[in-house]
Amino acid sequence: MAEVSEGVLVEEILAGNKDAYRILVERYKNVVFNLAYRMTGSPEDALDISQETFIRAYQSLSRFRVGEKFFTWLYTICINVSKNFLRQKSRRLRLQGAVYEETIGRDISGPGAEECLLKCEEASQLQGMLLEVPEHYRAAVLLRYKDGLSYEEISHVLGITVSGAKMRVKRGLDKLRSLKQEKGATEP
Amino acid sequence: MKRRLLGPLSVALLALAWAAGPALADQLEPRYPDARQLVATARCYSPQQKVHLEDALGKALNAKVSADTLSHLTVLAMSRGVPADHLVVFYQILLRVRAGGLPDLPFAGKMAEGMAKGAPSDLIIQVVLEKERNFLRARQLMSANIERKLLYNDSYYRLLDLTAEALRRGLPPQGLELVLHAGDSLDEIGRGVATYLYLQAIGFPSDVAPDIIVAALQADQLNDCRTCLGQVVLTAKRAGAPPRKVRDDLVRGLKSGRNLGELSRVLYQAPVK
Amino acid sequence: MKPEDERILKMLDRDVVGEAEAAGEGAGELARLHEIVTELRGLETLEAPLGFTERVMASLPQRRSLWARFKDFLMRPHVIKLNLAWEAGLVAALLAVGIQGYGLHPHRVVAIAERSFAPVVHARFIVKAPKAREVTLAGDFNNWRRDQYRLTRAEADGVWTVTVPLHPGRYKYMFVVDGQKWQTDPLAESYEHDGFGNENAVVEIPSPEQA
Repeated sequence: MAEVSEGVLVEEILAGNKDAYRILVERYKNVVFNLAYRMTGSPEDALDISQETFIRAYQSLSRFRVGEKFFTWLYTICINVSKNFLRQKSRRLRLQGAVYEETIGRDISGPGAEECLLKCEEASQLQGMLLEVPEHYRAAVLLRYKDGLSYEEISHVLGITVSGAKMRVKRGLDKLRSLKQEKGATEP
Repeated sequence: MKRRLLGPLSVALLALAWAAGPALADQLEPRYPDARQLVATARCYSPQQKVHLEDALGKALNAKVSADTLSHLTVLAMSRGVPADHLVVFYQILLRVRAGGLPDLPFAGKMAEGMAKGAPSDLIIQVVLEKERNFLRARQLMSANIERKLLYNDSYYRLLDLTAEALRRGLPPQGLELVLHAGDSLDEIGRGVATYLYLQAIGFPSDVAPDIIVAALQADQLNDCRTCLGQVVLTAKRAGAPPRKVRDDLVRGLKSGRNLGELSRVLYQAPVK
Repeated sequence: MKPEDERILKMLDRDVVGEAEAAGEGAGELARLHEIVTELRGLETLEAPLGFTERVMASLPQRRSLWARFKDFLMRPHVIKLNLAWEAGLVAALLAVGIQGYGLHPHRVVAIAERSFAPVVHARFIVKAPKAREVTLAGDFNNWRRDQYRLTRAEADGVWTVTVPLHPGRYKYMFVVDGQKWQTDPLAESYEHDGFGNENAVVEIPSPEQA
């Protein structure tokens, strides 16, 4: 169902009907937002990345081949934008990091603070660990197990072979396993 | 951009203000880390809560609510354990007042006051929403009585704040209208409203006070001796003079050219029978 | 890819950990990987914030006329080399850069200019609190910070004072005793309810020319 109507939609948009793009945005906004969030660990960054993804997709819509699935193409853009973003961010944070830590420590105090920090503990220790997995493995793992893509679809998104996709998934899982083991060793 | 050309002094002033602005802003308030970073790295909000918080924050910033104000508020809220959905409402209220042309600082200040004093956040929200209602009423009242100035400046916002407070304290709009209409400048009118509040605080009836204040403003008497009017009224109260008599005496005295300092020394020196 | 790895991936897909345990070899590893896969599948799905679609639609590039793009270029702030002959342009540029660069709303620019040149009055606050160990002053002039203005104990009679530089105006304040207890100044000229169950003291600081 999706591919046929999407092909038609894309044609419409290319013919000048900008509003038709809205349908695609609505359809994929959560999926793109979540992928960006899981890649970066930051909802704020995810917002910027996902907006950028849709804007770029719109701009290069003519390059989208109708045979392909729209969402794999969209995912590709999202992952590229996320990776670029991460590369730039690591440079910025290293500069700002030190000053920022200091001021935070000074002011967050008072009776509510401990409570605040203890409750709503990130269910995602996993999210934290994901961020320690190298990006190209991270992307593969998320696409496979969070988004449920087939290895063939993953290979399209990442621009690699199917066996390459399998390898990345396996390496990503192995990395997560060893991280989990490390954390298990240090915490009771 | 304003079309009229400004003289060299104004230019120098503005240039100085622009250059010194950020440095002065530093002195006026301490700097806090960026609100978006605080929310993003907070361990006490779930990812979905952060989505809502960052969304509301972004919108408030776009509406030109100051980043420092939001940072300070966020630091306070996080250290007080304010629940995420209440903090979202704080941001939304600031966004709304700003987008509606009201100054955001009195509202942020009220939120800060509530949090500093340990008030529950839902109560803070009630209080601030009431403040918003009073500000809107005050603006309406002022627009009916005060000629719209070209540049909305601090004086206007101070008067707005004062008038909103007057409405909150239950001063009658008709009385306020008389006062709003009587002064030559916004600052003068402001002194009139502040005096009106003061007279209410010392128990002088709010339906009688405006006549006195108007007479004092018209005689330009609220500038030199700020406390004189209050003093006379207090003395009159202690002497047992009925309010309407006080009004008549003062209005007559002011209209005949006597100043308040004089009147405060002369009137009601002995108890009134 | 190693054949064992292929097998492991297949097993993870089929959720057949039981089989693997029976198989014995590498079972521990498989179980751990399976755990991770389950967690990954269970990761929370966030909703994109409200208005996301609108924002994207609004940001989509359009075909704009040359004139529209030129106007955009003019309206955007630029750092302009100072050229004192162009008074009006200088002011406009400064305002634009000042506003864009520092996020100062015009109202704030004027406010800062006014405030920096307005007189400062040193206001003295006094309170008697013989049993207190620490007294601070908090008010709307400092955003109610409890840790900024510390009073000092003047003499053994338990009178605490502090002097604070303030611009003329009307302010609300309270004292905070021993870091926790909010106290109303009993000697204030007037009061107002703060809405939270306390009475704020109100003080009017006159400008130096006034009495």
